Amino acid sequence: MQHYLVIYDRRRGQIIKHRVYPNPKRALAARFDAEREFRDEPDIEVVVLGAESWESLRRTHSRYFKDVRELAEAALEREAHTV
Amino acid sequence: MPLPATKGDLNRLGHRLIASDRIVPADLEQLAFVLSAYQQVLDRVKTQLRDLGLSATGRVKTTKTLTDKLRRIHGFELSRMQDLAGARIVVSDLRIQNEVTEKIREFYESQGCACRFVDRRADPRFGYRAVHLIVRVDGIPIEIQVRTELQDAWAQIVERLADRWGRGIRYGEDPEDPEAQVRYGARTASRREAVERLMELSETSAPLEQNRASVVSSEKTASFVEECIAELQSVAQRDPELLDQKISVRLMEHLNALRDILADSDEPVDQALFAAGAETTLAQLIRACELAFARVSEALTTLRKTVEDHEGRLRGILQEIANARDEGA
Repeated sequence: MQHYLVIYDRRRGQIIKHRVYPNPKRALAARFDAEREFRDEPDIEVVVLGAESWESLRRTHSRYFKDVRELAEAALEREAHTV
Repeated sequence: MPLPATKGDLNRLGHRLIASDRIVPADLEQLAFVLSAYQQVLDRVKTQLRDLGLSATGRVKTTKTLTDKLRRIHGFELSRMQDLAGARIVVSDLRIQNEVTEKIREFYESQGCACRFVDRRADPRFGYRAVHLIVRVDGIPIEIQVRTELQDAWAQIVERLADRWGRGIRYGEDPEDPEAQVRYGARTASRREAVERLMELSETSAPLEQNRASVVSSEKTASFVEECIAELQSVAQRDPELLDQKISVRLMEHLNALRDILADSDEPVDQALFAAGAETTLAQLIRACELAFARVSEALTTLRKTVEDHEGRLRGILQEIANARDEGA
């Protein structure tokens, strides 16, 4: 299990920084540091996500990785393969 | 690790967190201490889910979403927040969603943990559909979200849009700049109309998923009835005299199984066909099966047509979203 600190710019729709922490306490400490750093920037989201892999996060938290058009296209693609 | 704070401590911390825009260091330290306990339990839950063969990711609420929620819901207390720590599982369809939900519930109940089931499919929240299980481990609630791919796609689209149009759209509020135009190829619509279209997407997905699950279950029923007919016909072929005789104990079991399956299915079945029970002759049983097969097949044709209609609508809306350009961005 890995813990990923993700710093995400909501308006730009981009992950501006991410870092993996095997230790959850360190990840949480880094989160609070980052929250302090970006406290005057309301569009910056600082979150720690726990997952087996970065790939797992792409599946369950796709909004950090895809824009609305790409999310809709991915859903259409899956629909095309649904029997 | 049990929660290192009483309910009262938590609620007082919640009040202080939203009392001003700047959180004082001592409160941040206490929050970090509390969230660390949630993180530990969340990690344990994710490991348990992995041992059940389920791949889950998780997060502890950010300070901003936590304080936003406390501010949004007047009088809401921190100790009552059930989604402070959450795990998420995405599965292919409704049938697997039901199986996974049941598996998780059985596991936690067998461990003596309280487990609350919230079905947001039956009771969607502003279009959001999913199953949530709130399990209480060491006194700490963990929300396990189980979503289908389609439910998740909807939620991700809305979340992503909320990043730009304001998080209020997740709670039924208007988007920021609601009259700003969104271009769909040659025509335009307002952001407000675009959000309404997302509600239609959710309302189309719900019956589509339900009907797809019904198709799978009806196909199984049809296949079982078909096998019954083949077996009964082969018995009759071997010994045509049996046709007018009462059915054997073995075939009676067939009849009972058939009746049970049809009773569980959504298909309209005339139970009188089975009422004769042991008095039924083999010929009557074959006829009953053929009638049941005809009904199931007819219902399947209607269901498949409904699924196709919903799929067409769903794809239309998704294509529209994929082509949209936000002019107000």
